[in-house]
Amino acid sequence: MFPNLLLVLLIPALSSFILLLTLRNCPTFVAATISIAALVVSLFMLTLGVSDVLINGSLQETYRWIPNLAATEFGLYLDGLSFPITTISAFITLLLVIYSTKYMAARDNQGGYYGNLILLYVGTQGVFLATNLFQFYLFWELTLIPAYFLVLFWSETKELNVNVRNAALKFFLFTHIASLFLLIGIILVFTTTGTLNMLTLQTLHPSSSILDVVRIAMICMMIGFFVKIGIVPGHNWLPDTYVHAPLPITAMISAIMAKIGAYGIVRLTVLTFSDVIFSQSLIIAVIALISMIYGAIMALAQEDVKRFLAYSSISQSGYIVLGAASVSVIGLTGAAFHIVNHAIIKTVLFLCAGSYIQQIGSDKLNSYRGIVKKMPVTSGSILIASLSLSGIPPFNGFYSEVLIFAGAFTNLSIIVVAVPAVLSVALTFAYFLWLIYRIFVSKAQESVENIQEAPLSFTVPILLLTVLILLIGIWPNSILMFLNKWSESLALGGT
Amino acid sequence: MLPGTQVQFPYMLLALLLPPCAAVFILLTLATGKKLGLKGAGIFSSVVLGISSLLLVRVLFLVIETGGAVYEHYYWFSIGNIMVEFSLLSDFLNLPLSLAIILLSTVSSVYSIEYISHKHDFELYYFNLLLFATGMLGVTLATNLIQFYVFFEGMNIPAYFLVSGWGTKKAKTIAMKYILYVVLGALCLLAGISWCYSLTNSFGIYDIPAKLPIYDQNVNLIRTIALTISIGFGVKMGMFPVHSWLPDFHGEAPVPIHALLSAVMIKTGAYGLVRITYFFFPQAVFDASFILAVLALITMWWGAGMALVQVDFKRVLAYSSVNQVGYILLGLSTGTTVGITGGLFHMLTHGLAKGVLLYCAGSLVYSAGTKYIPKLGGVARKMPITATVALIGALAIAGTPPLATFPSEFLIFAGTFQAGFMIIAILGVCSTALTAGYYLWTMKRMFFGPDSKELDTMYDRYIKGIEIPDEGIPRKFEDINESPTLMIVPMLIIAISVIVLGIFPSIVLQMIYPVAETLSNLIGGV
Repeated sequence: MFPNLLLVLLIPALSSFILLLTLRNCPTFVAATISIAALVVSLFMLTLGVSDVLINGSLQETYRWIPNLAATEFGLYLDGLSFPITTISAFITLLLVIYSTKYMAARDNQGGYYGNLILLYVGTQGVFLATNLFQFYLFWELTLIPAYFLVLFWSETKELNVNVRNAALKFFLFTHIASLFLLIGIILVFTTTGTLNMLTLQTLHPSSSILDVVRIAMICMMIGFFVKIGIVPGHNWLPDTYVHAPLPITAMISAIMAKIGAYGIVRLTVLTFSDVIFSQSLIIAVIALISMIYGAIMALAQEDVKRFLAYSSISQSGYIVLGAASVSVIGLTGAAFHIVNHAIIKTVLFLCAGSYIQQIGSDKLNSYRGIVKKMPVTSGSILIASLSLSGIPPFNGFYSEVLIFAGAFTNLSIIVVAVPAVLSVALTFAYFLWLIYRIFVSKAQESVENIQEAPLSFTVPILLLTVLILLIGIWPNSILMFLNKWSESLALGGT
Repeated sequence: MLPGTQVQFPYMLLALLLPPCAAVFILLTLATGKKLGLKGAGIFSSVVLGISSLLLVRVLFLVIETGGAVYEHYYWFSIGNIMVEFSLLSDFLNLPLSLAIILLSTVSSVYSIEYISHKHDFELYYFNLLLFATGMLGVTLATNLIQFYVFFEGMNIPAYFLVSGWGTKKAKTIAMKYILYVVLGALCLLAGISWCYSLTNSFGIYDIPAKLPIYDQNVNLIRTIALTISIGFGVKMGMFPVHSWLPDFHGEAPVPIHALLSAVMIKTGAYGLVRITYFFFPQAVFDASFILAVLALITMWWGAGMALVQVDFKRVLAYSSVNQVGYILLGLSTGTTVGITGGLFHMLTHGLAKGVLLYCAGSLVYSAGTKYIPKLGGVARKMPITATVALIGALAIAGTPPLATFPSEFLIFAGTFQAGFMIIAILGVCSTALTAGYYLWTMKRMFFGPDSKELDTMYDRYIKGIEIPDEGIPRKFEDINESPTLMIVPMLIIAISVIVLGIFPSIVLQMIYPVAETLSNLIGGV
């Protein structure tokens, strides 16, 4: 059998090592070419799996990780849930590399930058493709190191000052401590059930004697995931990191790296935990609602575009958690769909913000007044992305939100949360409306007189993703047909 | 399963998808730097909307032939094992509204070629106009709640940009108020849709009624859902107490858009109320019918009272829309066949009559340079056609026979008496006198009386640069001419249709009556 899933990870990993070890100071052109080539191959290898996923439901490759210890089998698994997430992540990373060629051109250590970026990519794809929790954790930790270095050495402020150091440290500590909780959870699962294989766990319903341990394991793992995606009160690291990281990396962290947490939640819910989560769904839903509302209200108050988008991410994470908390097929499908949609939309938003920062030279929202006249393509894209994230049809964000809400209403115990959750979309709309108003309706300031539209290496990635937003919006089945393949195999507890 | 017969040729799909495709085409020409210009964009969009209208007229004949409903079946996407379809359906309930939407959009598109000629970004204006028309049309043809919501919510965005971009100076702020209102309303609808799904495992508008739990055993649950959904529609149609966005937003909109907003856009809310709330929860509607009737009465009186004190002709028309929405709601709330027929018919007739008046208002802004009633006077001598047509529109809304709104208002009040709401009916008839009063008074001040001196002072101030008005270019009284043909002809066509429908109301009534009968049977009225 052709090891295409292994190559998805191996080729970028190799090129990343080459870049990091031998080509740290090479010119942008070389580093970017190597990265783009590696990512294109990786994306191509992923798309080879499409027929297997659609016809057989999944594609699996198994390798022995530690001999004689079956629990640590190194397997790669592609199914209807991971296929859309991995392909979109690979595509977005590719576009981010293209975007970086211009945005990061003036910085030192080009090879180091791209090498770390690709390593971050390998880590996230490893999580999405993992078949056992041990492997899941290894790749999960692998993402942390390149992300930390990227924030620290290539920060937006261009110098290593105390703010950057603090932000990077905070990022590292928060997510690392959360990871330790995740590790405790994984160990507890292993000791009680005797297996780490996620596919075996999926069909296993815990007996009542071990229910207490499973509950603690669930809570530990949830803490790990919640901090990663910035659910309140574990969100504290997120805005600072987003502000200080270089913009393409902010997009990467928000759109892909945080999604490993969301992916973990969606997978975990359908693992052995579905009964436990079902009995606790009200608490989880309330936590989700708090994040939704808190993030949206904080976003309303921001003046700085990256902080604004950071709080918006916190708010959106709440939707994904709400979908998972419903423990219903439709809600989980919605949550998984929202992972894909949010990744696409947030990337567009961050890249547009990057274009503004580059062209206008300011990250203050107030300096973007009336900028549509000068930068119509960027502004049009940010409009579509904002509307989509606010759940305005016919863009992709709407469908995942509908599914999440339909799921929330299906679970009778969280129906109290469902109504305020739906209405909180108005808050999301309100903060984006404020942005749209400034960009489109307000009168332009004199200082923007000589601003030009962003160069092609900025607008092309943005436009490609914007078209994707529209296409998924008109034809949601393009993603849903994969997710349906996955949801067919679900055996949910409680319902 | 959808009721009616299936059509093989995609008439409705084409009618629905041609305008957005044209909009995308206009945007692409703009992106490649080849500007179509006002004439190019205007004629192109009018032709496309015209083709859509013809396709829907063909559908009308098909519906009449089959005597019930026709549908087109399309698969859209599925969630797990739940299929979501993009099927389109036309029957006698939605087809009059669909036709009104597409015809008035065409007329507004033609009318705009002259009207917005002194503004800017014509291509984007038509881009938004085409999308707005699509949104409204999609609401009426939808057979699926998700599809319904896509259009119901989607149309708000082009409406927002049309008004904030091409309206008066105040419009930029006021559009924010509008969008926040309607989005909150739409979210209530979304909550209701999700709730309905959780009870029935379906999104189909024609599937859900049979699958909902029995009313008597779940009174509170069903009432809550019905209320949640109705708030969404109430906001859109400007029902008291969630009406306050309507006069502001309509008043500041450019005239061709105001015509669409007043004449058809708010009717999509009324349509949703009938198609969804009435068909899904008939018993809950029956229980709430008195409350609905009282709300309708308040809406009527509030609109009429506020219209009396306005000085801006467009604001008069905007408040009059609130007033007339009250009539529609009163008719629907009665639950009797006669009343519902009246309410449904009034949706159409008010749309036409209000369209006529708005195009006249546009003609005044264009030719006389102002829409402020105290500044006008004696204009009828300079603009005889506009004055005549405006008078027809005003008399029509006041319910004068033989114009189209007379039969609809008559049926509404007959139904109200029949339902036993005596006091409400009497108070309602009284408010009609108020309607007639404010319209005739407004007409007298604008078109008759001595020649206006105010226009000359306004012109002087404009020339000296002291005061530049929001809309239109001031002129001296003697320089006023009748508006160009492209504005007059659309006005005349609609005015004639108002007269024809007044003399032969049965053209439409015979279609609406069976629908109303079904509805009143469901609700349990007379």
